[in-house]
Amino acid sequence: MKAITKLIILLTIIFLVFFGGLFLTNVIKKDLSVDKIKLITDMPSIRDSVSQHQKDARYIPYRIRLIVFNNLIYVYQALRNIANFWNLYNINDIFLFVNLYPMYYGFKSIYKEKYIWYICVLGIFFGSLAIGINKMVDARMATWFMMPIFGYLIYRGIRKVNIKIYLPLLLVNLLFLI
Amino acid sequence: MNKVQKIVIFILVFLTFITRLVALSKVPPHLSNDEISIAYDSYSIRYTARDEHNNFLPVSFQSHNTYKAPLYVYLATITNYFLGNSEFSVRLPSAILGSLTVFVFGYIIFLLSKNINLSIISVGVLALTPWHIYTSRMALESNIAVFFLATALLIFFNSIINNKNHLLMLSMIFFALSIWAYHTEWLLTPMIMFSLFYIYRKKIKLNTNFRLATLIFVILVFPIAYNAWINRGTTARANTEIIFNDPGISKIIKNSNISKLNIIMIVGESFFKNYSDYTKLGHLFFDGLPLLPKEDPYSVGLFFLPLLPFFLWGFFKIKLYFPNDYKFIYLWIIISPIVPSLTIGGTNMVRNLATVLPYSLLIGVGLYNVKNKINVVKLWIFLLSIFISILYFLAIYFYHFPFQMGENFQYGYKQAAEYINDNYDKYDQIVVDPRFGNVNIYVGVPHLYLAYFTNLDPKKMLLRSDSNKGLLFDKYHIFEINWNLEKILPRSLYLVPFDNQPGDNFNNLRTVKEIKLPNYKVEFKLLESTN
Repeated sequence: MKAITKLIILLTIIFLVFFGGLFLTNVIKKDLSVDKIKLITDMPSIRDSVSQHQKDARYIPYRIRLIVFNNLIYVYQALRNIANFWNLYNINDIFLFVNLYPMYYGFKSIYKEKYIWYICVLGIFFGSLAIGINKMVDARMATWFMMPIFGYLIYRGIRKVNIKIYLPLLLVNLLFLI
Repeated sequence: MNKVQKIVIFILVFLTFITRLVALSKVPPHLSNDEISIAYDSYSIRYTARDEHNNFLPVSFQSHNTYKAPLYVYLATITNYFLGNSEFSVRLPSAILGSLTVFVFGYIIFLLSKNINLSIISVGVLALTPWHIYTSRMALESNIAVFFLATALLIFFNSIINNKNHLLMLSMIFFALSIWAYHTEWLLTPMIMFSLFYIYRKKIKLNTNFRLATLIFVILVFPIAYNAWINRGTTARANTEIIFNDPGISKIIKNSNISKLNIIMIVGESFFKNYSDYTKLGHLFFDGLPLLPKEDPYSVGLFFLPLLPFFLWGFFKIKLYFPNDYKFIYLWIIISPIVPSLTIGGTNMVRNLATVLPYSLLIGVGLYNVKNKINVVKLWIFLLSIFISILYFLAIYFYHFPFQMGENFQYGYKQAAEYINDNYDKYDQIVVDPRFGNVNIYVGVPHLYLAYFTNLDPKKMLLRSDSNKGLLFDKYHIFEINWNLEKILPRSLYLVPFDNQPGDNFNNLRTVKEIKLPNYKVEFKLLESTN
């Protein structure tokens, strides 16, 4: 495959995963306008905290306070949202907890296939970013467009799992899900 | 051990003690609700051998009906004897044992891995982790329980690895002490012990020493178990905080139409949700430490954020450095958050404190594994990010935390006690409204703060009367004041929250002191009668 084709495919996947996530969580509406209220940039608590800390931090000069407590906090908030989202409970709801097992092997097996590896890692990263900038606490809908990536990783890893361990775990996992 | 390693260890010892002891009486800004209970009970035990509620040498301290584990109170009695009534004296056992935990932990890693550098890195992680610094600076039972648990593990591994069977007995004593120290260990310690006995069953000699050690453990734990059993259903802490008492779940359990399988599923899901909350990366690396209000985006995690990738990486590298013991380490990682996940009330980093050890080990392993694989530039970027994280944590911990969270620590009662101490003889009665906060949303325990910080004879507290008219002891009368019904007596002092001030028609009261929170907001007023 030509390099340009590869790049187009990669960008398309990133575009789909990111904007698809925003679309499914109604950040992007049907008329393709952006509902800014649903983004973390519209959180008054963050804005207030920044100015509050700028006011309170009297142990440093005011100008330095403006540098230390600045709008970069939105990046931190986005990362915080991502880290809070990818918990065991949500992982179980999205692709079953037990599937972390084949996914681990899936990741291992694609490690040397750099192009596939980039598609998977960047796809998950941008999908997560759509969750991170989202104000919604429960943004599980945003993972729909990541499903093919998860499915592929499970497919790649399933042959390496110990089936005697995997199947009973899957059964227990399904039982709890029901 | 080479010279560099010795210097690093010396620096780590210094940093461990300094981070746990500096300004111990000032930050946290005031003794918390639980701390004052421990402080007062240790003071009362020292003089009367009875707790606040007149129980003789209890094995479970009633406290604010939270029934605390006993060991901390008895340890604090010793520091109270030498240092008197102060924040420093009650927090000192936690600070010292917390510091020692760091080195016990390092020695465990060294024993298991025989790798001094891995051990030093892991010690560094635990020594500087915000989670362990925070808990070591408060009078928390969970913190000393972690010390006893870690020491028990150290002695156990020493006995197994060096074939010193007689040490098993000492290990059992420390396992038992961990159960005396905190409720989480009631279940966690037996789980860890069973894991150890199962995994190392071939190495443990089932001789007289082992039987004696087990017997000693059973004898030492018996008073706690017996007390919990006879008080089951009413007073035992483990019964009040357990997941089955969640309003939603208890309703389902009582519903006879729901099958047992369904109940197991529902309880299981609730447990899994809690377990997930305790292990989520957001809680561990972004916002788990309660230094700032929950919604504040500048919240701090239990560990420094730059360590997150090493935490994940370390999970896959355990086997590499612990080829003989990886099974136990994985079990340790998995079972540590189980007990707090069985309780209600959301994530609580104090209940989950025992997890700090295996998680620090994960980070240590991750860091050690990556150490030799990264270039100098990446190393400096990492060190810089850690340095910034430490500075940021120190700024938040020593400045913003006391500044913003004073009210959560019932700040102001000690300051009121200082005024009362100086003017005690001027008054015949001291009336206290126990409420505080905006629109008097909280009810505090001023009787403990005032009695502790004025060094009131504990025998006077034992003679207290508690009725619908309020709590009466010595000169103190504690009740929720209704100014419409209040009759001002001569030579009276009133300690009232800001949101329950008398109206303008009370000409016979004048303000003698305003008590402000660290953020300069007035929290209490002291008023004296002028008639």
